[in-house]
Amino acid sequence: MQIVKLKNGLGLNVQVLNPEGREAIIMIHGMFGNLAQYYLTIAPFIAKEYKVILFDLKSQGRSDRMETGYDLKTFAEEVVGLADSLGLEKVHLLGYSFGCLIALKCAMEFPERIGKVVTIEVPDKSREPLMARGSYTYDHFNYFVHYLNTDVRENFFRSKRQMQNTFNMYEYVFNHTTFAEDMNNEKEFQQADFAKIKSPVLLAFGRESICCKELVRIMNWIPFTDIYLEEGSHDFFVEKVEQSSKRIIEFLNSSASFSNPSFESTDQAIAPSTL
Amino acid sequence: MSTVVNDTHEVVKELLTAIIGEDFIGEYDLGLESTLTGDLEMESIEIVEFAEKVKAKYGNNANMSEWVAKLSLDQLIALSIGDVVEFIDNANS
Repeated sequence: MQIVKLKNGLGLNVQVLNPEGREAIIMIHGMFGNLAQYYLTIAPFIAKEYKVILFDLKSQGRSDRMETGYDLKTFAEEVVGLADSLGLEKVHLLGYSFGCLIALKCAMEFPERIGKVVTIEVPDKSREPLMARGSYTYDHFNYFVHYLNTDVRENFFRSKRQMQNTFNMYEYVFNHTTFAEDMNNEKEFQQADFAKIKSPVLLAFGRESICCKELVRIMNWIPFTDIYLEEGSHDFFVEKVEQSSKRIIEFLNSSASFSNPSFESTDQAIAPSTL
Repeated sequence: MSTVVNDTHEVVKELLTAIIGEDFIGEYDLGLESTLTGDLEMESIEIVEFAEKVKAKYGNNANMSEWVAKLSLDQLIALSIGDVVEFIDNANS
């Protein structure tokens, strides 16, 4: 791993697998995760063909802490800034959960820089496009404030180095940065935003995941989509590492032009016979 | 246990010390039976650091990233120092 400095001075912890790979793909982990989400799962398999770039989002993992800039636009600029620092003109992106939102934002804001986009479990909820992140943020916020403000903290984290480190990250992000404010102020993606995406997008979901229910609506708003449904829930790719990797590589390698399959309902879209 | 395995064990202990730190390593049993995530309380990002150090030390034959990626979550949680020593020795044999 190495620290890569962006033009704004932010140092991101980066791990590259297979530097000689044919094309580069940057993988964006979920909120409050780190690059291990991919390193310990799908990254080594995808690195058999592709140059895989893993990194820790700011204030997470081994990357620098930063007090501001937790809006999707800034996150997207930092992903493209990372590509710049690594001398990459065009990259594919892969995101998981919150990382999907950053990947999609990149594809909206920097369409000329992005090749294909793989989203694993776009967070969403019915009829309120991408507002799920609001409740997601505050659920976590309230949960950790509870521990911050009670004696439970001492017992909960006592003598557990890993839990203490995790707690330190949460404590910093929620209490010393603009994270919660920025997330709350984030505007929903609109249909016009999705229409800006020129990249083919693979929408991957676990069949049992609550996120899967929004597949049809998201799919119908993104111009060029392919879909991949796997048995499992929100973290299906952790359990189905080789299958997931194979499907992602298939999508990345494909020269097919994608268009909306035009399913009329989620039930129809996720029926095994249609995939 | 052969001398080669013992040597590997010593190197693995050095690599783990470099990651966990001299100040904390004394709190842990670095025997072959100790698990990385359980007994040594290693975080996922530390497992990545460890895997990269193993790869740097022993070369691509000991591609620990690919090896751990093939493990199930339960297997990863149960991964012991002895498993890693055996993996390295098999890779180099």
